[in-house]
Amino acid sequence: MSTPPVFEGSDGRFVATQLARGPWDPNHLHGGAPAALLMRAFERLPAPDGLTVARVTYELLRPIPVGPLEIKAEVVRPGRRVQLLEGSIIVDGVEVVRARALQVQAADAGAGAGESTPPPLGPEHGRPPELRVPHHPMFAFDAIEIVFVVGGWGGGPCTAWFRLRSPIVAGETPSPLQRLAAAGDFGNGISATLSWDDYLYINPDLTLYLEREPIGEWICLESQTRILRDGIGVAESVLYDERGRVGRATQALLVAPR
Amino acid sequence: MPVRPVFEAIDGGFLATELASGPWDPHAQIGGAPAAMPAREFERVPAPEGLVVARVTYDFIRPAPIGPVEIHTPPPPGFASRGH
Repeated sequence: MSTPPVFEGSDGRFVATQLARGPWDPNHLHGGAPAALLMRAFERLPAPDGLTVARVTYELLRPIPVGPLEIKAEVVRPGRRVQLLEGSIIVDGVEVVRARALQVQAADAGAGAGESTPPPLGPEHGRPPELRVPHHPMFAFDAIEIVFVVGGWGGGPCTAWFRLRSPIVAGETPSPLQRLAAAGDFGNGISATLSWDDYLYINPDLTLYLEREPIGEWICLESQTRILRDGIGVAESVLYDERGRVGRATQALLVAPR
Repeated sequence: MPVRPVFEAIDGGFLATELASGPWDPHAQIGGAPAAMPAREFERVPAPEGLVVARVTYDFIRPAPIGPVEIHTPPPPGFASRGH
């Protein structure tokens, strides 16, 4: 039997399954699921040889319900060395996510200054979090495996490895970039410093920066949430794959009493 | 004598002066100059009390020349009040 997918469908029309659900509301998706689906749409657009994704910014405009959605993506600024892509997820005619991806030509081999920073302790040394899960199934744990090598869930700065168990789209193996997008939205969740019962710390955006193309199935986040008094919550994660550092993920946070 | 500005207000927009020019091409602006202009425009867009800027992302789509420029702030897609 094949593993159930996060999204069913094709050609721009999909149905988000319960495996896409986030923790805040059983009817709404985790940001990592649409982030991965939009990354897949960006990967399918035409790009000149040698161009690679340097940055993706997602505006998570509205809650995304479990159920049918449309996805669109286009090249808004074509180029030989730099391209700008834009994509949207639309539910019942309303735009719920907008994303822009920047593709740039990979750096000349002679200009690089060496290899990436080595990865943290590997996932084989990790342990699953001890956590009260609000509902099942959901994106965290059911669609994506999570193991901690430093710290634990919701205990401040921590390091955890993520591996998608489920295909993003039925019948397809997720690409490393889709895996990175799926994991990249977990920084605020894993490194939270506020009580889940008392506070919202939800992210209206997500920005991924890539320093090289990721490889493999496992993506690691070394995450920290900063919330200054009267300031703005920001969750920041350094991203790794099994070979080493690949980039960063940043999320602005709405922090409010529940 | 007043300090010369990076942008001068002209009819229908602004004039980027040579003080806006960047290192790559004497006719093109450094990113910081146009980045500061939209920031000034964003500050004028009405916002509910208590909202502050959390993030600005700039896409430098093409070189911005020294000379006249217009600034547009198209209506945003809008966040839902619920949850956000």
